[in-house]
Amino acid sequence: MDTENRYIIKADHILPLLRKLQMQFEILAPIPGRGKDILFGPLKKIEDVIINYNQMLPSPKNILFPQIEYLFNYESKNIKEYKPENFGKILFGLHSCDVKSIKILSDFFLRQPIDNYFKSRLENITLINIVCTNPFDTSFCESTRSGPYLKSGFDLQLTPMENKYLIEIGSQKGAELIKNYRWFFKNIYKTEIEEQFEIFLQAEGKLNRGIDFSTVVKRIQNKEIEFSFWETLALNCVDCGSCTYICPVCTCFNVVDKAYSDNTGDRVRVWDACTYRGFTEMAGGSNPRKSLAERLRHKFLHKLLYTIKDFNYPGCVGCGRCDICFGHIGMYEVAKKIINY
Amino acid sequence: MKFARAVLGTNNVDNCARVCHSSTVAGLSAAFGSGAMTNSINEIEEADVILVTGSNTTEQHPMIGERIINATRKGAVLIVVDPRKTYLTNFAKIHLAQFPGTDIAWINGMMKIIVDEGLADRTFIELRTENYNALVNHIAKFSSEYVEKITGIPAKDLIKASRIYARAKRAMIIYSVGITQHITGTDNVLALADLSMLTAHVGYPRTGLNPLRGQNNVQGSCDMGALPNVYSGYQKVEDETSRKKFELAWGVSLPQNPGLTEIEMMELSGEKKLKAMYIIGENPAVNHPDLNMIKRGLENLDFLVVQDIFLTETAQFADVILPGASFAEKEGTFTNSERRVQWLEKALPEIGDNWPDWKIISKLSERMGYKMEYSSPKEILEEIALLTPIYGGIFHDRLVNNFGLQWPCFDRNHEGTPFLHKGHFTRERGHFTPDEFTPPAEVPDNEYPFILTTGRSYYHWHAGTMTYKSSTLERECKYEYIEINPQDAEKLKIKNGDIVKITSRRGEVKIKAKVTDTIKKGVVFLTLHVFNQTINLLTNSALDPKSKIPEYKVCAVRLEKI
Repeated sequence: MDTENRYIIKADHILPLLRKLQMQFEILAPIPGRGKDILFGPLKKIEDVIINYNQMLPSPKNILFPQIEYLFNYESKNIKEYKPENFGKILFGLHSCDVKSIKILSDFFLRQPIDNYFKSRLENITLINIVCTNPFDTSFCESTRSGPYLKSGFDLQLTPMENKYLIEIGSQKGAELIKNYRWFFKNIYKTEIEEQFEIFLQAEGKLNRGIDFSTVVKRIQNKEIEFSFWETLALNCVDCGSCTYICPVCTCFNVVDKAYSDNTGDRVRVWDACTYRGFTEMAGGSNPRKSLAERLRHKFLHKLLYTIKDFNYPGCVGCGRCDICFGHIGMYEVAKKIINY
Repeated sequence: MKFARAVLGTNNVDNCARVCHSSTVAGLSAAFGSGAMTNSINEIEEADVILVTGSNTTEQHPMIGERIINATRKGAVLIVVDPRKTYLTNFAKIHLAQFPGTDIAWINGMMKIIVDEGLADRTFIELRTENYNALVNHIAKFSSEYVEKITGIPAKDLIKASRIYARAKRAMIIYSVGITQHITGTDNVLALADLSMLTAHVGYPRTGLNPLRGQNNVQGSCDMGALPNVYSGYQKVEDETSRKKFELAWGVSLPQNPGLTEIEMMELSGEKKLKAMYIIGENPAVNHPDLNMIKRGLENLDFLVVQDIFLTETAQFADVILPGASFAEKEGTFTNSERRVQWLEKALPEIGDNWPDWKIISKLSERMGYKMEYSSPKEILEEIALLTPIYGGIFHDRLVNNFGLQWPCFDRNHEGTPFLHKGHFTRERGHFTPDEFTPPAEVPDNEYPFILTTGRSYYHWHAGTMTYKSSTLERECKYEYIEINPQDAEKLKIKNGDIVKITSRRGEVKIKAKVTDTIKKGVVFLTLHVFNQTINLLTNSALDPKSKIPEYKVCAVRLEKI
């Protein structure tokens, strides 16, 4: 293990560091919401930042791929394109799985034809995640190799230790940032790397859930899962679409015109869900995936087969957010049912 | 309600529950003494037997529908009584399909079977209820054969369902507007109340008579006395002690006769007998029955104020429009179907020039010469607690950071009430009411040979003031059909996808047909949310004499293929 690209910052110095960074960047971080909520949003007062949170946060998907994206305004033949904001942002204190989810989103949006809205936002963003030393009950991120800690994909990764954080550089952007604020960081001892390794092991040990995705995929590929399986699942689905909206890697969208009059309006891109009937329906009214069971099957096959085929990883980061499903059709429960089918 | 009564000095105040569950409030108050869901949503999953009627639960209350499905997975027996094969019938042991508007007949029929077979709970009847003998005498004529003739429900199925319901240790009845939106709406509710008392399926956990309310806060609107005959907490305006209490607190003298209901107000304004109206967050120009009558009512007003978050169809008639704040831009409380009062946190700053409703109302009353000096909704909640016994222990600090409290909650030490009527009914003894079967206001005849019954789409919300703004929901709901039974379709030579003209005595609409056995012969079904169409041009505004709820669920129509 190398001591290069790793530094130590004292816990007391995190806030002063953020204060300095705020002069140069907009910082988004876990902040208190109303009641017991913790949100991920713009950090206005540095003291508000919540570093040791122990609950699920909304995914950062909305930051790179907004729920409603205004593309252009039209007035008769005049078209005015909206440009995404282009100032530097730091996403501080993300879950490890959320950093991985941004990598998955990037692979999708940066394929040809490249999505310039996504690209320009991504270029301006620096990702700093914190290793989840207390993973949530519903997470199974180790199974998707997206947590509780990351080996790559981040710009900077913080590992909480006693009164200090070990900070790892994962990219040129991260290295740049460390270089600019070098006086905050101390060089690292070999023992501290061993300490970090120990923390990684402990965090993994705390995970309650795990799924052998290769078995899941094999069973589907071998056509062991009959259609009736999806029909049974669909009985409990109320077609609300929440699983896709809350999923940090779901990318379905629709493009519609918001007309203000006969010849003025905005063209917008809005989140959509492949589980909705209208998503696959053609203009003439025919629909290749008529039943909810077919659409649910498609949603899961997309994550478990097609994404693996295209990118070599499942379309899931094991965050467990889709556990909110009232009908128990979240990824974990479905994958477990497939294994025990 | 304070604005109407203390500032305007009128009891002519009503809320949208008039067109959905006013018959529930009237019926349950008369039978049990409390006009709300008797039990809690959490109990559904643990029930032994669930009888669902007049509710397409999975589409209209999906979270509750999910619990009913889960209950069946855990072994609960489900009985569905509905003219349509709703999604829940997939999980039901028995589905009884009655003709719309014949509910009293099947309920009385069930009660007769239960009494005849000795399945009634005599101890419960003796100790906790009154007027049982009158009921027994009345239901004597409702033999299963007679009921079959009226309702179309096979006698043997009715007997089976009665036995399952009566023999269960704990059985819940869940119903919604399929029961209430009839001219016999209150009687329907009373009959269901009789059924639950007869078998002692009320006053215990996992039992009861459970109306599913529509909006997040329609229970709250009723609780707060936005009704012509009661103050908050159902304290009657005619009762002098209550009136004196409110007069003392508000420093004004209050009118003592109950006021007008929504539909009555519209009728009167149509006749130019009512001059001005203030409509908050409601869109009667779309969702009230017999729309031509409603539009006449709105046009003939001298002065109309509409307060809403969007420029609604109703607002087109307004003289003044006040921009309100949406749920996300304000704080306060919502009271849901299971009487649970929950605190709402403000999530967004106000957009544009709008104000939260409480602020608009208090500023308005100040300008009209009555000072309402509230600093925040917390303070209003304190006044509610002071004047409303069932909300007596509900304060802001007890509601934050938890899931709220279920009324009645009389004081700070009271933990709230998960199920009502424990040990005794709110009105001491439960009252049996013999209910006569009356056919709907409009029955099919030669000219209009079909019964039209209406429902709602999964994707849209009532008048669509909010949901029609979403392109995704609009897309999902693009194809709405009129459902026609295959036998009827064959007779009229209507095929799937044909355009059909539907005519009632009040209006006509054109729409695609869907030939399906989801619906019974002689009955057709439409949702209120057909894109670009206003189905309420067809529906009947005949009112239940007791609760003044209009009969959305039954009207006679004629179909023509065009």
